[in-house]
Amino acid sequence: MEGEYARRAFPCFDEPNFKATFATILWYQIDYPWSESNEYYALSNMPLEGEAECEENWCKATFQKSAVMSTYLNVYAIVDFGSVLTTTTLEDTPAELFARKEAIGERGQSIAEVGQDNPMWFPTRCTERITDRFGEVLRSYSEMGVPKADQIAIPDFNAGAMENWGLVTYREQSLLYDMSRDRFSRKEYVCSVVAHEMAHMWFGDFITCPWWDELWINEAFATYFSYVGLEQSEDPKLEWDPELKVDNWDLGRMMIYGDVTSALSADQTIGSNPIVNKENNGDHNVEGNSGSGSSSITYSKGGFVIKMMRCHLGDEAFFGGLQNYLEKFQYSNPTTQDLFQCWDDYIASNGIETNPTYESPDGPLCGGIGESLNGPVLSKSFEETFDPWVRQMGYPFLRVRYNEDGVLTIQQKRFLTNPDEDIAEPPSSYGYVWDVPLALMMKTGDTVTYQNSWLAADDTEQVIEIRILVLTNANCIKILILDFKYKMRILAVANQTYLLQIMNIHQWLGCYTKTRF
Amino acid sequence: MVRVLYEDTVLANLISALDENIDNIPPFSRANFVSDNFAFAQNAPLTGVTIDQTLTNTHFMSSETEHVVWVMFNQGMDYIWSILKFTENGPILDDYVRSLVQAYYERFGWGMDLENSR
Repeated sequence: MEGEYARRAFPCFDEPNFKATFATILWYQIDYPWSESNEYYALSNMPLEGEAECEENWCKATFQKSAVMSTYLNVYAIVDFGSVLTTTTLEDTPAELFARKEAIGERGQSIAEVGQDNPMWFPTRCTERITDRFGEVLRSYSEMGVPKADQIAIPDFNAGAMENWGLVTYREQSLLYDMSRDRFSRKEYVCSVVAHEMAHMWFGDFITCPWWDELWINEAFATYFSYVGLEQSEDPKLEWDPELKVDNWDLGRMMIYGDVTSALSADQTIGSNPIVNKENNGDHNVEGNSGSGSSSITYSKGGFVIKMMRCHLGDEAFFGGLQNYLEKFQYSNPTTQDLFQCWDDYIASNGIETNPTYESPDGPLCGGIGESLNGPVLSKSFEETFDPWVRQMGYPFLRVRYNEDGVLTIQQKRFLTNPDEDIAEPPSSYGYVWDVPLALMMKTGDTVTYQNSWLAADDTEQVIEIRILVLTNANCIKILILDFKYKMRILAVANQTYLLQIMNIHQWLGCYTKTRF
Repeated sequence: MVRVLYEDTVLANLISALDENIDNIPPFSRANFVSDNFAFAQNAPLTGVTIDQTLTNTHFMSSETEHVVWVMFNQGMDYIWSILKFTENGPILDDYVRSLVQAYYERFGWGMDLENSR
């Protein structure tokens, strides 16, 4: 019911910052002319309070009072579905996954007795593990006030999935996965969607954006944490079951396909919008629904920028700050400023040493989705550094060149694809400059050095006195960081020029370059 | 959330490194390089990069066997294909891309019959 739809179900102040508890009672029929006898039952966010009371064909289901939450998270279902029962890996939070009986069989099957040929097997196993992976890095799921982690696949559903607290709704194709028949890309999709929706239990349900113009508080985090949910854990109990064949997924690569290209291409026109869609957006103010603004920005660019944040905070400050944020703003509606303040406060109050640069021969600052055991690398406060990334649209391109005496210079400019568009439009209070993280990899002799620093927004040009420097922002997957598994040689100055030679080879190949695995 | 435009010597270094051995530059870096080059060519007045230069810079695709780089190349080429497809240059472009994709096809054991195409 996200947006303005809860008001269609019951009278309410239907905006995300009016939070309340909900005591739900549903009256429903258990039998219909088309059904076999007494099949239907009712579901909602919370477990039933006792048994449903039935009299002839009508039943009354009373549900436990919900946690404090926004109206749009209410959910009701009256179904005759089958289900698979499980509990989460560490905390034993009960989870029941529902779908049509034709697809998954009878209600109440235990996961232990469900085979891999049941399309609910894979999503059930993802749910078990992902729920407690988030519990590990954020806070316990069940402590937030909803004692179940149910999922339901619906044959006709308007979104891909919806994060109703305690009963997440999905299209069938977003939840069900046939291990023997479905293509591999769907497997990644299904487990990622489960991770995205379960991440919403923390980011969106437990804490919620104040208004739709800060929807990234929900969606960018759910997008980014869909990768964190799949990430390897240090806790051996959270190791992925090898039978799922999830543990070898290249999450950085998934992020490139899933988010990076759509973020970059959506944001290279003046018709884009800032992640925080309140200002610097040409007065296109966000009206009363959650569909305002580009989802490529809210979800993908937002998720991508959170990866940059994690990389430059390091895991201790990134997760520590988020834990404090969830504690401080539980059941309420923090702003972007509140969020950023939590990271700055965490660094200050824990005396965490922050450096403006990183330099090491041992390895890069962070990994494929921003994971980092290094300390924060910031040259200003977190808020000052990242406000321009979230509060104005667009992104820079860096012009990298050697000048005549071999010194490297880097300049930034906003990137747009349309030559007719003005790079100053719409006006931005940040002037379309950013503090840009630079990741450099250098090799001198056999010594490789990795270096991270910031190109300050107010520097018109940064001069780096390095004679041998190869790439900046070279690795797409790490935004600005090279992939260090690969060896780089010293690149001598070469004046070799390529000329494009369009070869007239008469050969035929079908659907070239369209190969997908 | 950045694109990078390598110029002059820096670019020449990159290209000669790719020419010598494609793995001198990591796959994700190559993917980014390809994606950025096609984006830059859309706005030559701003970036100074023309589509000729983009195609020159991405000629290393002839030894590219990484899926992620081909995805970026394919995305970049979509626009060029869309405007050239029904022109006299369309077949030339097709032939050029076929010449690039050969190594990638051979990785999967798919041969090419150079004599009996079309």
